[in-house]
Amino acid sequence: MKWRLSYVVLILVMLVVGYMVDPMLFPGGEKQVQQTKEEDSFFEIDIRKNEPQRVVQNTPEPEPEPVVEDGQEDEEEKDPESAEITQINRVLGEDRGRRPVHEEDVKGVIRPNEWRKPKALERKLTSRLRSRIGTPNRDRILAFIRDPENRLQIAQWELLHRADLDALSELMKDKETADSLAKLLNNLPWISSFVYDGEMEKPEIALAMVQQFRKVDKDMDHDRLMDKVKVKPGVKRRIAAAVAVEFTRNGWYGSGTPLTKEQIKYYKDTGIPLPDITPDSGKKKAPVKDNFRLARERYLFFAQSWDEGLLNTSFGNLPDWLMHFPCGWRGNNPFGTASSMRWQRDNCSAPARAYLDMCSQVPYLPLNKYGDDIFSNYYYQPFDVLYPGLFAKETRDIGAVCGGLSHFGASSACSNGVPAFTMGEPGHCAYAVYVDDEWHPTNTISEKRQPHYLTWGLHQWSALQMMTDMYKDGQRTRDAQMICSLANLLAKNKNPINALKLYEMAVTMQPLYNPVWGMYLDTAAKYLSKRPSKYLGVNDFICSAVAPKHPEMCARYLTETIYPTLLTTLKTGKQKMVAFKSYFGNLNENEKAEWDMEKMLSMQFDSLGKAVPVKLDYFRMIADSVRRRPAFGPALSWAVRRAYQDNRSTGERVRGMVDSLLDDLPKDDPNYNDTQVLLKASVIRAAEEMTALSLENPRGNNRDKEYYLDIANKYSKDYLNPEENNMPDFTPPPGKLISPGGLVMLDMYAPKQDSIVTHAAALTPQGGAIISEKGKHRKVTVELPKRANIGGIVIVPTGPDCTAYREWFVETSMDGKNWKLLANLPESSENPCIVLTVERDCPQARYIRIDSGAEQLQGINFKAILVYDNKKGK
Amino acid sequence: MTTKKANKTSLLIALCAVFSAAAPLCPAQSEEPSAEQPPVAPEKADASKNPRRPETFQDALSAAGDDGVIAFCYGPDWNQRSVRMLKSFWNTENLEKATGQAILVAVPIYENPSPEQEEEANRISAGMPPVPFSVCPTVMMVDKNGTMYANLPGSDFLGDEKGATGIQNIAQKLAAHRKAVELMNKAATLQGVEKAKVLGEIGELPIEKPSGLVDMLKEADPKDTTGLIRRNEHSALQFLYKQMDTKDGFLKQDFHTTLKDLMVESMKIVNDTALRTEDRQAAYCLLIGQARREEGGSKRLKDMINANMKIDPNSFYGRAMPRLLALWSQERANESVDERRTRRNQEKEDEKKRRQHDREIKKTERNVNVE
Repeated sequence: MKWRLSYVVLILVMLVVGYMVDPMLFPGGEKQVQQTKEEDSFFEIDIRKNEPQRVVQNTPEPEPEPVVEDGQEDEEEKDPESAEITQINRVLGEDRGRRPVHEEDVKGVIRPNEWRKPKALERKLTSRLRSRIGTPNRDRILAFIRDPENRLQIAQWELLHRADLDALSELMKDKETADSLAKLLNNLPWISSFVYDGEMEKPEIALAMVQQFRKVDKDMDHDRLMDKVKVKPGVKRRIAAAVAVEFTRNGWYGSGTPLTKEQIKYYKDTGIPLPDITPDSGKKKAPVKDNFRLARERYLFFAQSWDEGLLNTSFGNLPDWLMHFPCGWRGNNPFGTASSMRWQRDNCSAPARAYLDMCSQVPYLPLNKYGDDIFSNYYYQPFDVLYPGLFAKETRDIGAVCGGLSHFGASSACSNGVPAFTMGEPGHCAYAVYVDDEWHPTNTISEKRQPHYLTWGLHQWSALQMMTDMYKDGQRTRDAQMICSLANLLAKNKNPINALKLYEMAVTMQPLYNPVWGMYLDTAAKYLSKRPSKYLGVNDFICSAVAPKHPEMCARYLTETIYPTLLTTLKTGKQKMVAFKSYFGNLNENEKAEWDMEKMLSMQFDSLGKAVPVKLDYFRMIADSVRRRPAFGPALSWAVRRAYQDNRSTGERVRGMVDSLLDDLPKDDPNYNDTQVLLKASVIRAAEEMTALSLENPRGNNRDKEYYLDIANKYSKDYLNPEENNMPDFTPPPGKLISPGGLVMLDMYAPKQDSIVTHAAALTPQGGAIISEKGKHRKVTVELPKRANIGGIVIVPTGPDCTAYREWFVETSMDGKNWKLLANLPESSENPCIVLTVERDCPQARYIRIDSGAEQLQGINFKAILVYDNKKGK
Repeated sequence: MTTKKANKTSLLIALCAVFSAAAPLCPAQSEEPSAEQPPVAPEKADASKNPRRPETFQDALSAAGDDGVIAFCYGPDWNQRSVRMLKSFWNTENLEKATGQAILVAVPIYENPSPEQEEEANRISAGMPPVPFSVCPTVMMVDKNGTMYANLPGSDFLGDEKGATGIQNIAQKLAAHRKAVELMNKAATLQGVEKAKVLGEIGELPIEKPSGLVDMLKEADPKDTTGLIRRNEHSALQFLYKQMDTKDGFLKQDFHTTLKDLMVESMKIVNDTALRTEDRQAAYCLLIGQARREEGGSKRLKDMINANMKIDPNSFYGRAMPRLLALWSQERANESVDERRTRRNQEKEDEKKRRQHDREIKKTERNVNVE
């Protein structure tokens, strides 16, 4: 009996252990295995198995909730991104040897045959979605877009809505193409990324590209690295979407320039390897017309590099919208060829942060060894034959200027799967790299920058920043996009009022989603009576949602979409003032206004009419806003300038307003000192910049200049601090000190380091500080209070020695335009300051200028610039 | 007895069943790496056992002899290629054989290190010269004093992951380093011109030149009878900027340098056989460029290109000359500066028109039907 009991226990133990080890050995185990695998891997959704649509109770929400998929709530609450991960590749069941899913079995999935008739399909989807939406209200819509089937069909409808259906029909004529693409188009994560993560234009062409990618890469659906690196699934499919969308919207699908027969013969004769023509040209001759060669090369570059584990591991986990940056890197540029990118991948791979300095690998050389300058066609020509298809390597070896340096840096990052792009700055080219969830500009000289990556048709840095913030808010953004698509559907089907409701819902859910604003306001303008209260409400909403973090984009919304209608509906100046206050009231104190706000200010001001009291009210509002947000100081300088333009008496009154503002800052404010410095710095900087402007245009308004000189000198006096400055002892040059009371002008301000208010003090023996951004040819100009015979100049650097001034030189000028060299600064000096003495023929000058030269990136960093007038030395 | 036998048999059967049920786990565990397992160097644990493979750079430097230290930089959390190369290239006997008595140390460069990893990386790399641009994989070779004499980054120097090219390059650099040490020792026993000649040999080795080489040459051969000071001091770039009419590195708007101006100084360089071939050819390139700018595809230009090629047809510049001949022989001759400027402006206009035309074609292409 005892043994029998033991048997039973043992068998039970055996059964339990055996079941735990391999449930397949037991009846019903297969199902259990499937469930277990589904729980911890990326399983297929069978929509039929989903719970019936859950209706959300009518509970008022202060803010719209991000919508989650059925059955995924817990997971997504923990990590919104994992929601995307767990969105299943329902069609590509071949992965990991699973049973392929038959699309016809899945409710809501469109069969390939249906895709072959896109017009009929669009009608079908339209009627299906319309019937399900019914009369839209907030809760109903939120519940509606929770259903994966609905989400899939919304994305599919949006794609058809934007496509040229005749062209799509042509594309889908081929059965193989239709079968193949239908798999992707029925895949919710893929299609929603294709349609919404980026700016899909001409989807029929992008899909034709994707089909080509599938032809050359039969293995597109399988990630070889999946077992080795933990990443989101379907990396290669995501690459295909990103490449197709970017290359289509940029029009990079030309065949490129084929090699001539002579060129090919030359390469063969000299034994130099042929540049890449097509990756698949080994077996058959490249077709004469190959529209997608560039895109195909790019796809294969990333797909193969990823498969072989040659990209930065983080690439696989990039959100889809960020993947567009490396995948869409300059397709029409020699830096963007597959061979050049391959070289950079293999020779410039570094941790993401290191790409911020990667441009320094390239020597800054305006002339090549043949004496041809970088702007001629001859700079690289003699060397091209030595670097076939390897432009990045050629650039590194031969040299470049800012453009080449920045392209090299950004291209290095993109070639290794790290997002980056180049951008234009005034007279310069810089680039930015995405590191630690932020864009970091580098090789930069100015904050006025224009990314070469187009965002919503704009080259604005602020647009790119806003798009970044928008996509970071992933789930909410995707929901807003889906709702916007539904609104498009209703608008297209003559249901504008309901469409308007949905547009409104989309903008309130994600106000940073730029394109929907245009659609919303267009529809509103067509179908709503022009009720001022409605537009004022929209104005207030935009200002509160966008202005705090994206003031420039908010100003753009207002001036381009809101004001044209709003300002015609508002009759009185007072009403308009209410609207304008909304913008200024929502500005964030810490956000610096490094953009041209004058367009908006002028538009607001010009709409106010001729009544002087209203105008003065407006200026008062500007002054009041700037008092609370000193970072917006430039508005103050605009106000004074504009007031003087209007008429003299208004100008005087506004000047008085600014003076009293500066004098009467609230002293009980804990930030009183900082505010005072910031505000005065803004005014003084504006003064200096205006003076510089008037130098360029002597016929300009000299009253401005005098006013600003006055204000700069007045407020700078508060910041003379000789004790802290530790001015060194030196023997001054002969003559009388003339510089105090002069005005400093920098070509590139460094507001973070330079308090600006001490500029005037730097022209006195007490000393102050003048600091500029680093760069080549950094210049500081001093306008002397009056014309002088320059007998000597004393320059006191901030640092402990004077050894960094090789290549620096000093110039003089009578008019601030024509400059004459006075002296080069010594290469090194043991003295703590530089004393230049003009021994004879002292030049007459009103301006002196110190230039850092072209050799190194340096910044102005002086305690003092003292100028001496030696009348005897004429 | 029977019961006991039966009990034993049952026990055996039960155990067999348990083991057979457990069997499918075993190969899965051993063959398939866990998806969450971070890519780390499996050889790391054994490294400390080998005296030639200490854990930190400081330890390596303390143990280093004349062959110095060779460091391999890899990116554990971001660069799979370099991690794979730890096994296929770095921790191989072939590398050990090829590197003589050099001490080998693997240095991790993290992208997003945890505090522990950061501490570990700092400990391992302490005292090491900075890796240029943090490129991985990189092999950095330093002498026993810790001064870098060779840096081999990326596939241009290390080849594929198997590392045959890398090993070859490392062996070559190490041989050059040994030769440099030997020559330096020899130079210490010599004086005057003889010493200069030996020092000159060091300057020709394919590794970083020792600092102060030119000063040592100046001391040994102040009159430069060997030409070695000129050889080691000459900079083609400085020569170029000195000769051309530039401001801040850019050609002046109204630059006036002529072929005649350049001829004397450049030909001096070209004919100075003490200088390196590459420098002589670079000086010729300046003349060729100026000839093209002034004379277009003149006979003189063609002669210059041919003459430059003859100096060394296989050098960097020499290899480009046939192509240059084909390209530039079509250039226009005898243009004055003004004419050239006018023509360039015209070319710019043409280029503008061509781009406009291309844009239009592109637009048409965008509307092309999908095939």
